[in-house]
Amino acid sequence: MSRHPFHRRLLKEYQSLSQATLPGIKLVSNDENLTNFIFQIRIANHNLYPDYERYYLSINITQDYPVDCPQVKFIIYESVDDDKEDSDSIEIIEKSKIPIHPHIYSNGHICLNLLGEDWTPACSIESILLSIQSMLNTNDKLERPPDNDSYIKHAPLDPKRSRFVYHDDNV
Amino acid sequence: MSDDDSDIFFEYEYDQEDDLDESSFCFSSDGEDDVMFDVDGENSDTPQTKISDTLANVGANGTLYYPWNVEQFIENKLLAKLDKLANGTLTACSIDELLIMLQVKGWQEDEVLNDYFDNRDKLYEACGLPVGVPMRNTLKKIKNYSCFVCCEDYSETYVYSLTCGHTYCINCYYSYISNELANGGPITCIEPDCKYTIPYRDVTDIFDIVNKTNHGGVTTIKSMVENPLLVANTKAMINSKRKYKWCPATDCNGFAELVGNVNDSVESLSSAKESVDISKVPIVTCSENHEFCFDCNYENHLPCPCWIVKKWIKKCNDDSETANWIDANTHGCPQCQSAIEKNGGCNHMTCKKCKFEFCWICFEDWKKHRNDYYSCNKYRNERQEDEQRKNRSKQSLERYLHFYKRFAIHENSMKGDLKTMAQIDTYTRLYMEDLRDQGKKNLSWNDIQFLPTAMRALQNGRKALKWTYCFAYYLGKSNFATIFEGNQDFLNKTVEDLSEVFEQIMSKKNPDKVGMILKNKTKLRNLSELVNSRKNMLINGARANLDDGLLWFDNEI
Repeated sequence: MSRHPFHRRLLKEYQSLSQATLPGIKLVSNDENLTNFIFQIRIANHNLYPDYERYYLSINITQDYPVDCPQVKFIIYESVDDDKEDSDSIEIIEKSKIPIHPHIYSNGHICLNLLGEDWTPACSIESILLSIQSMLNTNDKLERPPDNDSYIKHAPLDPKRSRFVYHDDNV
Repeated sequence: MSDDDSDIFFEYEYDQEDDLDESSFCFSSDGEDDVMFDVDGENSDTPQTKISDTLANVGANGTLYYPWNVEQFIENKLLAKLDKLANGTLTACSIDELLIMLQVKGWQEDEVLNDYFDNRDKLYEACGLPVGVPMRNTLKKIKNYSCFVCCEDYSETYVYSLTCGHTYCINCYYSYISNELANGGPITCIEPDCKYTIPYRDVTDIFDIVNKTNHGGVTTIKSMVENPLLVANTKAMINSKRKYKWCPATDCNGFAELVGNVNDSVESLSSAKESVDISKVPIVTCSENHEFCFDCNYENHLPCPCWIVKKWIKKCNDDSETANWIDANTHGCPQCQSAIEKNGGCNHMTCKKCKFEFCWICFEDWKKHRNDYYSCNKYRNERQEDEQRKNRSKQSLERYLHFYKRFAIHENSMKGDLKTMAQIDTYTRLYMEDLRDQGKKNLSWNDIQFLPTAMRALQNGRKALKWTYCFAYYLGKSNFATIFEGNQDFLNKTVEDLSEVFEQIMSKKNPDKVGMILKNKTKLRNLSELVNSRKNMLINGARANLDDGLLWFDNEI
């Protein structure tokens, strides 16, 4: 893999992401070229998303970034949990969940206007993370999108190839 | 149909691998055809393509339409509206402001006027124009700049900002605009949530500077007609409205606009699913004179109705090449009929599928060969029942192949004709230039106008001929079908005669090509008229007979 044409920008974003501590957001892993990231998101004090639940977000920077927005989706991440206070030496492997939200499909695809028509080159990875976190924070409906079943059957692997209709701005 | 100098040839080539929908045809058009025999300003009698504002063209079946290309459309439709507002009612607004307002309002100048006088500020806000402050867009060269988007440090670069003052480097703006153009809508400042719209002129300036510095290009966008934003907007508009259809010819940026109530005419067409009334097929042309069907967006396919065309193309995609190959190279297993290709020498065959063992020569059970080895060497008069059954299915395939081959042959011949005619065109042009250099003017545009007319007649004649084979394939048997075949034969002969004259002109044995053209002037003129009249006779006859129920399409086929 060669360097991304906008490596400098990615480097800068990476630096600020690893320095600044966004509450509830943790960078779990990234590759050398800074084009694939996995973030952990935690929602505090919310009655739908328990405090112990961690959600994992994968962000792939496309070749045309920043003109083109990154590919973003929730993933099921298997982690060896070291937070549990059990002193047993048995490792507990935990599978993360896809958060339930009227704009998040059960395959992890997110219907968010920032990831589509509202993206501009001045947006950043940080702005994506913040807006997804706030999307979860302000949610009060424990439900999947109405077309979830039909969508996940035919959904392309890359959520960017789906054409979402941004119908509802309230949630 | 307009009859002007820009001559058309376009050929269609069958693409077997394509899906049925829309793209079953590839077209390619001669790149130079629109300047054929253009003898510069000296002969002012060269007819010019004129787009009339009031008079619509009438298609082959009485369809009212305007032929356009993108440039003409921008010039005549969009910029005319701009002029009207700029020089009449809204003189207070700048061109940039007016263009943005028109684009936002879908080029409805009345709506712009209404909204403007209703609530100017509201309109300005909706259009992303500054309210209460003057437009302060800047494009300037500055030193030691670090762009927030690309994070590059420039020792010197152009930067652009709108009234909001959000500044980014020109390269970022260039790639951002190029990317956003695909949407066809107004493009706003890069800053998220900043709604200021980038004006047309600024897009031109940004593109010019980037092209010059980064790509070493010298081409600049000279006129409004070439403005990338206007072109993208126009294309998006043509795509989204039903009264516009792109010309299906390759690389043609022409399109047609249907006049009158589009919903009525388009719906009446699609509702009449298996109509035999071919007088309703809406044949239109684009600005390059390519004839096409507005309904199904294929080339002019008269005398076939659209649904027959679709059926035929589907059939050709399914069958043609594969069927050809299977027919020529395989034989069905005598027991299960699966196609078998013989790739070895031995004639003792075992079907992979049903394990039936047979002889490749007589297609009999191999067991019969045991005692009397190769009994199939003896001639037997009566054909096997099995063979007869096979023959019936073969017959239907053969029937199809008969029509398909002719259809395909004419399709290829159209390409061949095109090549010959392009050569003739080059020769004639060189000859005319020679004459002009020598100061002689004994040959004018009018004298050779018969040539493009004849070429057009040949192309259109072949095209019609090609489609008559599709027509004939689906035609039910009747006496009138025989008459149709007779007319088809006449057209066939005349088209071949005309094609032959062109070939003779370009023949290697013929040194004086231009002389030959002039010598054959009467012949070419007569033949092209004959082709046209026979073509019309064939189509009109088919239409009348279909109407009266004397011809019908056989649904079994």
